[in-house]
Parts: sequence; C-alpha cells; structure tokens
Amino acid sequence: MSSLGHDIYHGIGIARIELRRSLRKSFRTRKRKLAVLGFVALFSPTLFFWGSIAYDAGKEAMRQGKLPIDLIGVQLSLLVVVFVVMGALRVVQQGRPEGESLLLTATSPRAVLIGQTVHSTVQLVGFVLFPTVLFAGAFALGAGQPSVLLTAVLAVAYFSRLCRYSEPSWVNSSYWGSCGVGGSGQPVAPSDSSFSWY
Amino acid sequence: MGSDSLTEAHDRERGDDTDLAIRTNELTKSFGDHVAVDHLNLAIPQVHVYGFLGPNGAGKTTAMRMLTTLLPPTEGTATVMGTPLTDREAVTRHIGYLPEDPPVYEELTGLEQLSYAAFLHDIPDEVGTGRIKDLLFRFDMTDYADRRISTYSKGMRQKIGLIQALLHEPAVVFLDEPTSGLDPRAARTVLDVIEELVDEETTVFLSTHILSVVDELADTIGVLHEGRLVAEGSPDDLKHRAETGEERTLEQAFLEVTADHQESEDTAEIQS
Repeated sequence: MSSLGHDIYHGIGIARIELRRSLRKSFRTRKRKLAVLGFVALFSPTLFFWGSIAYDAGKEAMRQGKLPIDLIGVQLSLLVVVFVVMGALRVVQQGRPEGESLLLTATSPRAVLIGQTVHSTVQLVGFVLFPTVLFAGAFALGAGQPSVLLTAVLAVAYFSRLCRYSEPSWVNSSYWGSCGVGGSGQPVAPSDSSFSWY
Repeated sequence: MGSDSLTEAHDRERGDDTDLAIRTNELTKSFGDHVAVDHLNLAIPQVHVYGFLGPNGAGKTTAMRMLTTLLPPTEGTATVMGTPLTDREAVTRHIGYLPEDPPVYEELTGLEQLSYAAFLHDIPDEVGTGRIKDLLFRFDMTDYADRRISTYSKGMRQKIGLIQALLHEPAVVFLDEPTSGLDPRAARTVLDVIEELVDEETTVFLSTHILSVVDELADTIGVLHEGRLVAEGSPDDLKHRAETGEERTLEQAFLEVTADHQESEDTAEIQS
C-alpha cells in the first residue's frame, strides 16, 4: 500500500493540475472572461463598503488598546475546517473525477481524493481570498499595524514556494521539514526541466 | 469452439500463472439483474496480441475495466502478470490503459498532459523527459506538444492517450477501440505501434469491433457475446469451418458465431 506521504505528494500534484485547469477553463472563452469582469464590477462597490467598516473596526480595536488574537485564532481555525469540509462535500457531490481511468490506474484512490479535496478547498478559498485580504488589510491599516498583513502574505508565499519546488524526496522523512514545519529540510532549487511545474 | 469446451480447455491449461500475462477464472460482473460479463475464462500468454471482439454491449469494456482494476468483479478472480486484481497497486504498475475516450484534459497542452502522467507514474524527470520526447517523435506529435489539447483533432487526442498509456513501459497494454474515429493514416500509425509493442515484449489486449484490425494484428481472437466468451482461437482457426473444411472471412465467422448463440438462447427462452 502506498504511504500517506506519497499520496499527499501525488494529491498536491493532482490539485495543482486541477487548479490550473479550472483557471484556464474560467478564462477560456470571451464570454467567460466577460462574466468574470461583470462579477468583479458588481461586487467591487460592496467590497469597498465593507473595507471601510473593517478599517473602522481596526481603529476601534486600536483605541481600546487590545486585539482579541485568541478569539480571531479560534475563528480562523474553524474557518479552515469549514472550508475543508465544504471542499470534501463538493468532491463527494461531483462523483467520479474527470480522467479517472488515468488517475486510478496511475495512483491510489486516496491520492486522488486528497488531490480533489485540496483543489476544491483552494477553489472555495480562492473565491473569498480577495475580499478576505481586503478586509484584513483594511483592519490592519485601521489598527495601525500594516506589517501584520504583510507578514501573513509573505509567510503564505514562502510556504507555497517551498512546497512547489521540493523534489520527490520530500515525500519521505524530510517532507514536513522541507515544507518549513520544523526539521532541517531545505528547499530545492527550481528545476529547469519540463517537469518543474509540479 | 463453444463456451463449455472453451472453459474445459482453460481448465486444462490452468496451472502456473507466472507465464501468463492475463488469467481470468469465472470472472463475472453484474449490474443488478443484468450480467455484463458472464464467467469469463481467459489465459493469455505474455508477449501476445489478444483481440477481444464483440458487438456493441457485449461486455468488452466492462471486462477491460475489471482487468484494469477500475471495476470490482462480482464473482471470480483474475491475475495480470501473475498479480491478483485485489492487489490494485501492483497490478496498475504492470498495465497501461487507453479507453475509447482518451483520459486527456482539454485545458492542458500535450506536453503538460504527458508530464502529468509521468508524475503520477513516479517516473523521474530525466527519464520521463526523454521518453516523452521519443514517443512524441514516434507519433509525429513533436510540433503540436505545446498546443492545448482542446485544439487537437480526435486522432491527435488518441495519440496523446496512447503515449500516456505507454509512458511507464507497462508489460500489458489494454486498448479499447484504439482506431475508432481515426483517419486511415492515424489508424495506420496506431497499428504499427501495436506491432512494435509486441517486438518490445509487451502484451496487447485489444478490444475492437473492427474485424480487419484484429485479423491483421491478433495472435488470438476471443469473441464475446452477451457477456460470454463464445469462441476463441487464432484468426485462421476462426476462419476455417471445422465441419465442412471450407474457408470463410473473419466477418462471416464472427456473424455466424454470434448468430449461433443468439439462436440457441432464443430457443432456450421459448422452451422455458
């Protein structure tokens, strides 16, 4: 039986390809591009309205002299769980994955499930990512702490980069280390080959 | 050869599975009351082209999906390269599968698709890049590798699907209607590749309803009708009418074999 680390490695590769596909699908035709633009145009004023509220909330929190970090932490953790559950439910609802005869004759069903769930979760997060960053940014600005947001963005970007360019060896014992979760694993330099995308 | 005598012949041959590429014992798949594959017994040697013939709905694809671990059998057992189907991971290492509708993604380029397949098969970068390059060249697809698959013709998709099935150099390749919808030139390429595969010591399990394809390529032909194996033998065996000694075309043989079984079933139904 394939190891969990190996399945996670394959799952992340599957999720990357699925994300690439869904992004390309979203912008494939002129009609779809226009639909995305229309969606953005429709909701942008609302975002700015909520952004100003977040800014005021940040100012108020600063005036009171303390940020409820514990509460925010718990809420954020719950939010992550909610997204993962929603992503998993979407996968169950969708049924058989596209290209199942390739996926299931090349890797384990567990890897496919992990890949589809990660893709679905990231897609859901992607829908709310821009408004979330906007609100968090406005709140941090209001609180006079713009570096909080910048640090979070840089941390996410760094983590993604570490995982993106790791070679298959990180599947084994060095997996968590090379992804920056403890251990002494170091990122591997980006490869120039045609396979560097995974 | 009737299905009972075929079963007996397989029983006699039954023995060491390690010499066989594919062995099935009473392999059956039912969907509710409908029996799609009915007690199928096959013993296919290694480095062999096995032509799996049958009309639409005969159960060819269902049998193939069971042998590629995509469908669990309702009854019976099977091994691929001596490995039981229950050991899914080991079986999938030995097989390549090209279904009738190739599993390729329209949003990717040909090269991205093949790189993805290489990644899933755990082929190291340096090996995979070389193999992809060679196979693209062999299939005359090098110039189109960076184009999105959505812009490909049916034949080009079929070629990418076939390259994908061969990328990890499997010992057994399952091809479901590999020439369907292809123009004569593309079909010729696919047939030439199948011949080359056997030279490279690969076993090919070829499902089709195009008789000329199996007549040209197959070492053994099995005819499936309503889920049952109703005839099996070399193309020459099937063309030779044992009762009268006269020769017939493969098409005539196919029609006679499937009609015989249809008639006997109808008679049995009326009697019951």
